[in-house]
Amino acid sequence: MQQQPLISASGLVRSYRASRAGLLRRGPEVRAVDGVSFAIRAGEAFGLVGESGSGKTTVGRMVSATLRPDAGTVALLGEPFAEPMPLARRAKVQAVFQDSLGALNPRLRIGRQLEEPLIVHGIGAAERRVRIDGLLADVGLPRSLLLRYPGEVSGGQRQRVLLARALALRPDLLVCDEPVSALDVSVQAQVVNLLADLKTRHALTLLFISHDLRVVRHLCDRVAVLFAGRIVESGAVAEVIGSPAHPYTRALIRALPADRPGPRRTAARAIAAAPDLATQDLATQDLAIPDRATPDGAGCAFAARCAAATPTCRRSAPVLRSLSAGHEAACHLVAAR
Amino acid sequence: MPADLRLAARLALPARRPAPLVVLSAALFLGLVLLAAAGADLLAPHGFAEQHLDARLQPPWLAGGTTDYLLGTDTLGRDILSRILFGARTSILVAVGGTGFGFLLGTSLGFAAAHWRGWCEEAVMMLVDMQAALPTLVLALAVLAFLGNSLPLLILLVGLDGWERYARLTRGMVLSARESGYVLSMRIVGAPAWRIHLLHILPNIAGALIVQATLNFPHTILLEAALSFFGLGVQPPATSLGQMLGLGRAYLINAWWIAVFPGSVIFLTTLSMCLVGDWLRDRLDPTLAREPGAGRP
Repeated sequence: MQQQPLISASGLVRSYRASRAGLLRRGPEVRAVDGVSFAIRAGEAFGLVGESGSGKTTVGRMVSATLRPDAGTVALLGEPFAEPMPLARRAKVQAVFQDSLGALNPRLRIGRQLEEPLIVHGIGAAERRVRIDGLLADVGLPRSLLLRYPGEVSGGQRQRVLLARALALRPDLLVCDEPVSALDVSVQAQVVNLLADLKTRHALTLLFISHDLRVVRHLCDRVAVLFAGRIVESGAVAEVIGSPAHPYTRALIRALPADRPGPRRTAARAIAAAPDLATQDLATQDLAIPDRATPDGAGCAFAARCAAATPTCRRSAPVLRSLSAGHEAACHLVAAR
Repeated sequence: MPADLRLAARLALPARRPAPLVVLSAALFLGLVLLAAAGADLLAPHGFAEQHLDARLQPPWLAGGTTDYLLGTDTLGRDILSRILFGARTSILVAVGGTGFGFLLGTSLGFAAAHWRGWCEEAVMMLVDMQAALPTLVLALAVLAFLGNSLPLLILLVGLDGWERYARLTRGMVLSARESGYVLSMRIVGAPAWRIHLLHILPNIAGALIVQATLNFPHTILLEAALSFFGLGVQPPATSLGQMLGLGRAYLINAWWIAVFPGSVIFLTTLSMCLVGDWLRDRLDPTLAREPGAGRP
């Protein structure tokens, strides 16, 4: 029998109502997340990639139980993970968000903000001091930072503070929603390495949400590609990035800047690996945000941008099919191997 | 945060710029008024209701009067200075009590409306609209006329004026703060709603509420003055600044001091309150205070 996943999401659906159309008429509903399922094993780093508006953040909010799904469930070790729940269970899943300035209370000193989760969980003052010192050492911040206000420290330091705060309760799963996107590249690398380091040291499980495939490749074991609120491809990072099956994944990989000047080897190899699709040209500008005002419109959401789309693609939505062990894609054009 | 570090911070921080002179004088004036009001029994040269019919309408000392009555006397020969001291006590009590009551009521209802959306919010907002549509002065006059007059009732009534502004302000700011990242972070931690509201949202919206209170405070003083002017506020022989102003109005031409002195105290108190409140808001906001070069000429 397979090991029970630490966290599993099944059939998550969440809709938002678009801006109100009129006084009496309600605006159209937009399905931000439309039937997303995945499971993350303990100790694994699971990447969730997708463009802006693909529903990544909404998935992260639902997994961290701060947003109630319209349908579907999140389960932690097989038990539903949803509010209301005991504090101890709440602590198992913590999160770090992209906007490090917004995620910190501008009125409270950083020391107090690190202390806050510990106070909420009823940890005594002496123990708090020890734990905070430990956290600072973990993320490599000086003690003097405790006295500053969030507006007084750099973006990289703030992101470390967020990491420290999220680790304060010793969670099993850390949801990282674009934790490095707002940082410049050199600081990004530091924070990503720190994250990898913390993951090993604290036996963390990660749900890493990003639009940056390079960071995901560096950090994650498995990855799921989200498009228009649905997972279009998932599998081991090496497989998904090394031999992408879905046209959208291919386009994402093509859009990657080269690691070093020269031919884009990964992407070129990837496209060559699937000769039936090799001829299609998915320029980056084709990857406009899909129009999801008509979520129930039949067909593949990607069909409008897909050069290889057939009448079948426009008629019926593809489902995830297994390509090889653990590698799945939702595309009519990708036959099971 | 460890205490040793906090102390270190206090020592290490460069001295804040001292408050501007205007604010200092305003604070000084407020302090004096409070002190005078509190110590009226000791400071007043005469009783506030003590009549000296042989010394009616005495001008102030420097305008040809005597040192017996420094600020002159009114139509019944009562010492203006003494009456100002006692009147300020009543006025400040009513204004502080009323502002405090309105602040507490409005802020709590605003928080409640933002927290329990749905029927609670509907009910609060309906009350807010009713209060905003109702002329407070007329309501207060009606209530006082029916229920008779007492100081607690007066405080309650002037407090009712303006609570809806706190409520509306609070609700709006809490609703927007609830969407912020720092509140989300506290929810993930599992912090209870009261903690999020009191410890995390309140400090962030306190600045605007303080400003609202300092704007409302003069309003409260003036409302009390208006009610007393109509004869439904503070009842003689007790006195208040508004009541003195009302009595002095008829004598502005021949005995200006009866109205001008209490009027000036009202004016200066409200002005000082505004100045201090404004400064306090800037001072309380670390994002404003620490901006490099902020507020420097």
